[in-house]
Amino acid sequence: MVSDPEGSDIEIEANQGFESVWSRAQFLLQVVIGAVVCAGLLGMFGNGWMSTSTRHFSGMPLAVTYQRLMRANAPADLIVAITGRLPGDVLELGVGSELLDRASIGSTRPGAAAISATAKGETFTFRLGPDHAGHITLKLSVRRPGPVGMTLLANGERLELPLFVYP
Amino acid sequence: MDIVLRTALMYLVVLILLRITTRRIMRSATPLDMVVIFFFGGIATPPILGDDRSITGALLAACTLAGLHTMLSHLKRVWPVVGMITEGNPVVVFANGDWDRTALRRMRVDPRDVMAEMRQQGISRIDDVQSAIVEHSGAITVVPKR
Repeated sequence: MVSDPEGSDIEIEANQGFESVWSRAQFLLQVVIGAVVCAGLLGMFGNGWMSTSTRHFSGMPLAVTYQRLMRANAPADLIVAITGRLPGDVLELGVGSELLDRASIGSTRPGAAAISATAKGETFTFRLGPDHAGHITLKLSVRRPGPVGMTLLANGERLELPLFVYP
Repeated sequence: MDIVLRTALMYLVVLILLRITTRRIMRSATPLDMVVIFFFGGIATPPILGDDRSITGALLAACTLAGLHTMLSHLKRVWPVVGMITEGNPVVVFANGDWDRTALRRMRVDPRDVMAEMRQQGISRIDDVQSAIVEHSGAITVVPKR
């Protein structure tokens, strides 16, 4: 019964007990909503200060910027920046199957010169320009939520990139 | 972060557009008013979510909307000027037998809207009306003569 038992079918008495509990529950929910919005602004659900991470290859002048917290069915970028002069004219970037089981790489910018796929993952081959510098962007589209231990290989050197995918 | 900012922006844009477009929607929505609601609803969503089809993204956008609405409701109580900006003030459109044509034009209210409200209150003659006010909620209050 919604109204107080003191009321009748016609006359409604305020149910003070319920209203008091509901008021507290409403306040708590408003606090939760505020916390979710603040967390969103900070990037706890992806695309923000808390979710963006940059890691470096130890033996190569390459910095990888990616979202360690991302959302399923939402686009995300993985950016490989060449911070120094790389030996050779070619950069081979390999993405491990752990990520490819959950995500697909829609495209790369600039476009890869060659793409090869094996059971262990996909390898993208990029021809470096005359200055051997720049950025390579991999467009990720993650389908399944959960923790992922992503592995990125650059000319054979391995870099672990742990990330979490929200539903 | 971008979803929160985009939602906040679209909330404010739609709020301002609705404020300057119509205020009758909540009370007496005509096809003219409903078309605004349908179109605004459809137009506002894609810029917020874009290609994002995640549950988390939708939840974040919904929480941002709810949070902004709650915040504005509280602000309106503390600073009445917020309520005046977001909802407007009551405006007298008919008093002592005279229509205020300027107010009617500004509110984009037709005398027929006022007369419809009169009929709903059982008043059949305009001479029996003391005043008619377009409330901030969009409702039209008809005060009968005593």
